Amino acid sequence: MNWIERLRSEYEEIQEPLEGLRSDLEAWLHKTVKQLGIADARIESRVKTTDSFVRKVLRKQASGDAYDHPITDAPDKIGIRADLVFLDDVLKLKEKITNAESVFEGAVNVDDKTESVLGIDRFGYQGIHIDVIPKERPSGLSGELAKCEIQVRTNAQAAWARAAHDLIYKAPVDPPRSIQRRINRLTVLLELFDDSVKHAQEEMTDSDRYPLAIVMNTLEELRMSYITVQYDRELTRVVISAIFEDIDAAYARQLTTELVEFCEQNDEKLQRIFCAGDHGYLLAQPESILVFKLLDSCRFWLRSRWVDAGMSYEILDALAVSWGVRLAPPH
Amino acid sequence: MAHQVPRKRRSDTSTNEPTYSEAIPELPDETLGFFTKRLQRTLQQRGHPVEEDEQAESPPLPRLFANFLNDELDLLQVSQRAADHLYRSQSGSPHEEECLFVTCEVSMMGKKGVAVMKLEREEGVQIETQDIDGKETLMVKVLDDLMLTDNTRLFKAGVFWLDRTTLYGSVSDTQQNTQTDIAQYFISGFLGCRFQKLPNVVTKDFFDAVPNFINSEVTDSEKKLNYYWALQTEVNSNKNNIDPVQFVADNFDLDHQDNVAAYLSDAGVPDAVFNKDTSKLSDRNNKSRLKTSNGLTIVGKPDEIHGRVTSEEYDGESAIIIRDTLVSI
Repeated sequence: MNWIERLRSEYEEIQEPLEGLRSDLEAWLHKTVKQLGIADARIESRVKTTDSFVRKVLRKQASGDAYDHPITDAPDKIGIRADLVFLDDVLKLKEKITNAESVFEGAVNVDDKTESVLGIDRFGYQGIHIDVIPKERPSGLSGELAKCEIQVRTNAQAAWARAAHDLIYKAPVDPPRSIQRRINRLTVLLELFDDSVKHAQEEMTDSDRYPLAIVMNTLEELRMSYITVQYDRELTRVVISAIFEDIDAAYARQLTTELVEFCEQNDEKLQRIFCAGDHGYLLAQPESILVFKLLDSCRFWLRSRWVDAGMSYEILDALAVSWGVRLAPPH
Repeated sequence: MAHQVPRKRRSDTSTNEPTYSEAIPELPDETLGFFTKRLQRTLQQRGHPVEEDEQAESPPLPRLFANFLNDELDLLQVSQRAADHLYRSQSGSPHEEECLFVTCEVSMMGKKGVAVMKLEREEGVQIETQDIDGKETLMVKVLDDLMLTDNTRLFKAGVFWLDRTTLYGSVSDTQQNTQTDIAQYFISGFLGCRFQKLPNVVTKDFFDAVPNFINSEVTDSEKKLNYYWALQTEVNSNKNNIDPVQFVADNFDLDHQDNVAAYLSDAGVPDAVFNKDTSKLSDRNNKSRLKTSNGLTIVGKPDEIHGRVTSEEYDGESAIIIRDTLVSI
C-alpha cells in the first residue's frame, strides 16, 4: 500500500465520526440562528470527500508547502456555511460563535476577511471564516481531527464567492489579470448591495409598527405547530398592544427569541393544551402562547397589565387554569 | 362513571344500597370540558398534595387506584368498588348526605391518572317563559337535583397518579374548615392517604420564605417594614387558612410580586390555599427582630414595633425612627 492509499484508508476510517460531528454542528447552528432571531438563514454543511481530501493534500505538496501530518493538519474536513440576508446578522452570528465557550474548546480562530480586505483601494472576498473544535465530539476524533470551518457571510457575498471559486481559485488554468480584476471589481457592488439592504432594514425597524409585527409573525408561526384553525389577527394585535404598551425593536427581537425557547421547553405541555379540544376564549389565538409564557414567568405583572388595559379577567383566568397557575382575582 | 351513594343511617334496617352505573358512558365534549375545568380550578385553588398511607387501616382505594393505573382493572370495576367503599365507610352521621360519586380517567402531565369527585345536591331555580292567555309570563321552576354548578364550592375531589409504584395525589375538600377534619375522614378514612406535608410545616415554610425574600431582595427600609408587618398580621389573624397568591397580590408592590412568588415556590410553599397552623411558629410570634446595616438590633413585640418603628428619609439617608422613651441602658 503506498502512502496515498494509506492516507485514503486513514481518512475513510474517520468519515463516519466526521459525519456525526457535521450533523451535530449543523443542528447547533440552526438552533443558534433561531435563538438569535435571524430569519431566512441558509445553512449547508459537508464532510470533505476522500478524493477531495487527497487532492488537497497533493496540491499542498506540489506547492512546496506540504502538511506534516495531513490527517490532522488539513483544515475544513468539515465545512459549514451560513448565508444570511443582513450584514448585521453576520456580525451577530460571528459574535455568538466566537463566544460559545461551552460549545467550542480553546481559542476560536477567526479569519475575518472583511478586515483584511478593506482598505481605501482594495476589494475582494468578504466573508468571515471561523475554525472551531467542538467540545462534544465522537470518540476517535481528537482535537485537531475534529477541527471544523464555519463560514458566515451575506447572500451577496456568497453569490460572489461561488462565481469567484470557479473562475479564479479552482480554474483549470490561471485566469489572466484582466479576468481577476473584473471579478474582484464586483465586490464593490456587493458592498453597495449589503449597505443598501442594511439601511432599508434600519428604516423598517425604526417604524412604529415593526416591533409588534415581528412578535405577531413569530407567534403565528409558533402557533401552527399546535393548531391550525382560523383566528382573528386584529384581536392578536389588540391583545399584544394592550399587554405591551410601548415595545421597541430590540425588545421585540428578544421577546421572539424567548418565545421560541419557551415553546421548545414546553412543547409537550402546549401540545396537550391545544389538543384538548376546548378552544374557548383566547386559546385558538396566537397570543395565547405569549400569555402562557408570561403566566409562567411573571403572572402577577401580566394580571396587572391585563386588568389595567380593561381586558376581561375571566379570559386570563381561564388561560391560567389551562396552564396550571393561580391568579388573585382583582378586587 | 357516576354512581348514586345514599346516606347510610345507623338505625336504617332497610336495604338502601348505592345505585351503580353498569356501563361507561360516552360523554359529549362539552360535559368532559366542564368537569375538566372545574376539577383543574378546584385542585389548583385548594388541592393538598397527598400520598398513599401504608399505616392506614387496610383501605382499598390506593391499591384499587394503582391497579387501575397499571391497567389491571378497568374504570367500571374501580369506580363501582370505590363507590361501594364510600358507602360502607360512612359512619351514619346526620351530616353525611346522599351524593353522586364520580370517577374518571384523566391525563396528568401526559401520564394516566384517576379522578374522584363526591358531589352533593343543591337547589336552584330556572326561569322559563310561558304563554298564559296570550300573555308572556316568566315562570320560576325550582330545581332540587342540581350538582356542581358554577357557584358550587362544596365538594370533595381528588386526582391520583403513579410515580413508579407509589401513589400520589392532590385532594380538595372545600366543605371542611380545617385540614384536620379532612385528614380524619376523607383523606385517611376514605382515601387511605396522608398529607405529603403537614399544615404546620407548610405554614413554617411560608413564614420562613417571606422574610428571606424581604431581607434578600428589598432594599427600601419602609417597604421592608410594611411587608414584614403584613406577614405578622397574617400570622396573628383569625383566619384558618392562608392564600399565598392573594397574600402576595394584596401586600407586595407589583415589582416585587413575581419575585416573592418565586421565593415561596422555591421554598416548597404551594400556590393553593392551605390551612394555617402556627404550632411551629410559637417562638417567633412573641418577638420581632429588626437588624440595621450597622449592626443595631431592635427587638420587641410585633405590634409594638409596628406602632413605634418607622422608616424615613433623614438628611438624604434612610433612617429608622423609634417613638419611645429610653428607660435603661
